[in-house]
Amino acid sequence: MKSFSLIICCLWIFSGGTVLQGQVIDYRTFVRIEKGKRITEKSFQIQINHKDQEDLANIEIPYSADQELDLLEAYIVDRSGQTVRKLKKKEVTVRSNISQSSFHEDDYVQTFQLHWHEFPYQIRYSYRLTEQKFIYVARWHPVLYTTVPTLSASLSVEVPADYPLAIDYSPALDYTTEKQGDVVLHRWQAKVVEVPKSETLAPPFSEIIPLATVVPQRFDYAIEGSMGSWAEYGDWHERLNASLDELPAAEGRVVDKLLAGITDQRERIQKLYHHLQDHTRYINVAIDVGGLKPYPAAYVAKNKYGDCKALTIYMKALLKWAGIPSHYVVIHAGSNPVRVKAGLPSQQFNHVILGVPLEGDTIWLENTAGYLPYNYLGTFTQNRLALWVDGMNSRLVRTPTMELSEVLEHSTYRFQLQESGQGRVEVSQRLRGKTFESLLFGRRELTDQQLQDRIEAGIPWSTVKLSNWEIIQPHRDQTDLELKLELEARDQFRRIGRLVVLQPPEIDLPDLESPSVRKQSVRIPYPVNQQDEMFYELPFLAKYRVELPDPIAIETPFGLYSEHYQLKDTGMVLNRTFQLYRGDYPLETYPELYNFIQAIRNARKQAAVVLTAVSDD
Amino acid sequence: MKNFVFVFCFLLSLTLRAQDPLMEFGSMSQDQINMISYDKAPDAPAVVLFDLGESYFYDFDGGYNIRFTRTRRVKIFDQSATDLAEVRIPFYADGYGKTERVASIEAFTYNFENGRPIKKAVAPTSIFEEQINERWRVKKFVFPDVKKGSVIEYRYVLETPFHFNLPDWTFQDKIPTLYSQYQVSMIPFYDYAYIAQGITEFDVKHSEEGKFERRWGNVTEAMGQSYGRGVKFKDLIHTYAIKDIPAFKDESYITSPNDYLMKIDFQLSRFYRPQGGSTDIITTWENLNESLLKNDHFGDFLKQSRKLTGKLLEKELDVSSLSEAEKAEKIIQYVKDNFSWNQTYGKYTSKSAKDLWSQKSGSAAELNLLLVAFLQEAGLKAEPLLISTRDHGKIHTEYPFEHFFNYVIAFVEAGQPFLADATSTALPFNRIPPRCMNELGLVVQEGKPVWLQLNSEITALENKQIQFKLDPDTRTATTTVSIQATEYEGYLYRTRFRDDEESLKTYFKGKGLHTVEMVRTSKYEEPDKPYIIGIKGTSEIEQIGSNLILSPFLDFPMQENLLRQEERTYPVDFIYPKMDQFRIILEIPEGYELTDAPKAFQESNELVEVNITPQQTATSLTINAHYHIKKSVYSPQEYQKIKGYLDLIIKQFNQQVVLQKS
Repeated sequence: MKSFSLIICCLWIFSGGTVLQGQVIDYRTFVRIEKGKRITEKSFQIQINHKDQEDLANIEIPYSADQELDLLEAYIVDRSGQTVRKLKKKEVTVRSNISQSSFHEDDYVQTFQLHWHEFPYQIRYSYRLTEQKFIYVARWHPVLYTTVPTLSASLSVEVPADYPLAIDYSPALDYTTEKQGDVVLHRWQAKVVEVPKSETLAPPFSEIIPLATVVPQRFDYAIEGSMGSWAEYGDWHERLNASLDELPAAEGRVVDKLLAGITDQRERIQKLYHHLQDHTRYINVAIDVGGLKPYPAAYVAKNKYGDCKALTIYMKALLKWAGIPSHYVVIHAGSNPVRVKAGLPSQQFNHVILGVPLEGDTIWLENTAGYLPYNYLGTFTQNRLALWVDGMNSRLVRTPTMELSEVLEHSTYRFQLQESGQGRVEVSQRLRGKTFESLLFGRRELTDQQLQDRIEAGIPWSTVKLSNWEIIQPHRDQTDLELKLELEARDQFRRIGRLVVLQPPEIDLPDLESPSVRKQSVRIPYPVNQQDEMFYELPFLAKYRVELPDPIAIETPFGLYSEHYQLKDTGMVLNRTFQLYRGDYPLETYPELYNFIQAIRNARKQAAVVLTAVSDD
Repeated sequence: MKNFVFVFCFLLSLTLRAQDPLMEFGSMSQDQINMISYDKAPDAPAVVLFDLGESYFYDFDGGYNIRFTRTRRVKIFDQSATDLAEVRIPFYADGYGKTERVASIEAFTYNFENGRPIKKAVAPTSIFEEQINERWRVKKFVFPDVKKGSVIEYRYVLETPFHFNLPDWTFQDKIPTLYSQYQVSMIPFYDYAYIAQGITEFDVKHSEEGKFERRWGNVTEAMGQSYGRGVKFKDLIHTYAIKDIPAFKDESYITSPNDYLMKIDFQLSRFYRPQGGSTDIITTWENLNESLLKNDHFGDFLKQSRKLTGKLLEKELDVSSLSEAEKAEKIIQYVKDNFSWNQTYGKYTSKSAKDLWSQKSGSAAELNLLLVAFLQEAGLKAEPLLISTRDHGKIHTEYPFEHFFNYVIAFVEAGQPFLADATSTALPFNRIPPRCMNELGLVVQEGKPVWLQLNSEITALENKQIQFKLDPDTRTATTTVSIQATEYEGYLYRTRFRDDEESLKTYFKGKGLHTVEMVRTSKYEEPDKPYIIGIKGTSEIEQIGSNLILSPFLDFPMQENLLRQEERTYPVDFIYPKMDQFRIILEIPEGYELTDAPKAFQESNELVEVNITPQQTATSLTINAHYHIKKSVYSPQEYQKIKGYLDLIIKQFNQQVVLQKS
């Protein structure tokens, strides 16, 4: 960062110019397929220019139990180009590497530090990973750290000439290939070194950084499979899961009892889904091939827990016992998911759900969330391509899309205020979509106090105190709920000089970058639809002359905003609507979106009801 | 110091005792089955029905190891407590071949169908081991089939060769506990000191002789006499229990929950040789001092370091012509510049001084012992200072427990006495990081150790000058802010943002500025000077009717009172005193007049000082204001007052300015 006083320029042996930030000078990946094994060699040359960047000297090499890791070399080169220190074996430590969402995984990380006291200096290290089981030849980003520039990055892939591959890469990468005797060499080089930044309402980060993907057309991961087509890849899943969906007889008897007398197929599925929700919980234990192969239904039947794969297989087994066919559906979950590359059959997913064909329709079951309604996917898995597993009929399908009506949040506020600004507010919110999902989660997984804290934190203004709350959902499969709040209000009027000012609660708007710095196109994965009605009961109103803000109505291709104030007897009513439409919009249209949100902000800034005492007139 | 050997209190019989068959592993009562809530805490999502710990010295390889058995039963009332089904048992390996061992784990879930328990076991194949770091491992498992109404129960045995730390016992949890008991069977060769924290009275505190006679070595009996080099003895069994323990509730501004949980800690104080005679392990701070100075990983490391630093002083780093204070500053800076902290705490070193020298990176103990050696070698008076970091909890000086400490800094007397820590380059040579400021530290030195106060009473100042130039047409104000942050306020900026322009811009956008166009900083690399930040941006002006409204303090002052509880039993710990100071200059645009602005205000007492002094002319408004949290720590008795003052500060420093067309 530049200083007020003086910018010191220095030249050094590694690179010219003024460099203050740490850099990855060179990052090379070489993958070769040899006798069915994947051997990956990575080498790194990292320059540390300042003591503040010493985090870069703390090296971590992740690997899993089925990978053989060899640290090939690790040393420090000082500013004069001399090797001044070589890492010793005893300096390397190992620890488990378990992701936050998992209870246990057999993944590890080797760590070591290479610090030096004179800057700049370079760390150079390389390692080799050898493994038998793999489903990618390479999946490579030319960026080592998101906050540190990588000046040069390359991927080389060497495979036997008769080794079939599917290849996909971003236009930001240079690609060359050549045949060398019995092998073919593929090479990618990054053209640009700038790491893109995450931006609001943009595609996910991992979709915008360059990526090269090399997929083996045939592979052996627990069993042999092919990624020549989605049908073949789906068939591999089908065969991998074969016989896992067998329910233990004792559990089968539970199913029989549950379904006794129920003939309607929809109701039977629903009953079994509720059984799953009420008796299992999500816990991920991934060991060996557990990343892709589910635990059998018997495991969940016994433990009543499992990860998404195990719970889905268990649900499939419950249905199977009842004679209801269903399909394992592999999907990329998340409210802003990475888009599946339809032209590249491969493992592009991170989650599993279940699809149940029924009378020309499909029932979708999310099996990890005991709190969600039946046949509800929600913001986590709506509107995206997923792999429907059905032997050689496996195919990509699109999950249902959440429409405006399915995310509508309708709120009614009833203010009863005294002239002092004190009073009470009753709020009734009919919630759907993300907030609905979040409250259902809280109701199941949090204590009442924790849920109350969460509800309190979500109240959009600070001059109220939550005195009572209630969540009403008459039926667990209802896709909306009512949140009722009773609030004690204070200081509801701002007194500005002689004026008494009333400002309704704010709405939550996206915090957008200015168009001059925006780099990414716009993606709104699911719509926003908020409708507010606010009734103000102000019995003292006769003492004041009231100025209401002018009505506002803004309509754009991205959404709309309107607000309208109206006087009523001893009070006032505000009707307000904010909608943001789902979609992908090119970067060129971003200023229009920005202006839309800005226009709402400007309107909100002036949207105040001004009361002037009649005696002042 | 309380000592087991001298404490014999036979007391109390409780209706609920560990001998109660209801507290036998696997034995469930109808009441426990039927329980749907805990009457003393009806909102509790779960309750610990009992938690029993037992430590026993068992014969091992001609000596003794400790076998610790824990038996715990929990009733789940609500789905939100099902995460209690995930259990983690940490154990330790010292890196020199000695290791603790989890010898067995038995765990069962009980669900009740028609009043009858259905029992499910945790399969051995479902017990996993995680490697946390070089020294610590965790055995972990998940109870099967846990739901509302389940009872989960486990028993594990941990065997440890480490006699120094007899397993401790925490009676309190985040959920209420009906009964918690720790029973320790002592043998006559070891003597332990203990401390009971947060406990006013035990419901059971009981010592009795064991029923069985034990032997160490060869003992032959003849004619009613014992012969041989061995010893006959009986265990002395101590029992501590508390019932109806409320859930522990965390609060803001506390050092560490460790300081307030109800628990009992033990430390070995004396070893009695079976052949006669005894060795004091650590019965006094003097003994601890002496043992540290002799320890390979403390005193010896210091000696090794002195050799290395001595050579450096001879060859490269000439400080001979400097004053004592200059010498100290130069050496401390040298260590900070040339060695990196690996983020590890610790009171003992884990690598040799030579390895530290070549690897250029080490733990707090390694860096600071090296620093002390360096200073000593340069002829200065410097000693290691043992401390406990804030998250590690408080030290109780009346109990000479080694495990109170987890970190080493340096106590230096060069001109003025001061404390130093080589781990942070963002602090001046004579300051220690806030994590280290936790009441007291022990100077380890030849002769008698001494205690030092660590808390800082130096006020950290954040001085802000904010200048607004209003443009009524666009309803924005060009805003320049100049910040000078001294002492720990400067340290916070330096360490949080590392002088990164983007991070600072994002931060200041969250402080009430609508846009931040430029951020410039100065003195980042001179931590002994105030860190200076210059910001240029815009603020939004609100328009209501013909009024233009602006928040002159922006969102820089405290916005929210984190002291929310009605009452407080713990001190309120701000770590160091701090002052937020403002000078605000607002140019009144032509054709406008000021109709409202913050009023003059003053409050000064021993706890806080609050001052707002506005000055107005026809063309400008200047506000000089500050609030001063005068103490680093406020007692629970001062809680209501300080809570009220924080409310006052928030109200006074979030006022607005109103302008109207004249």
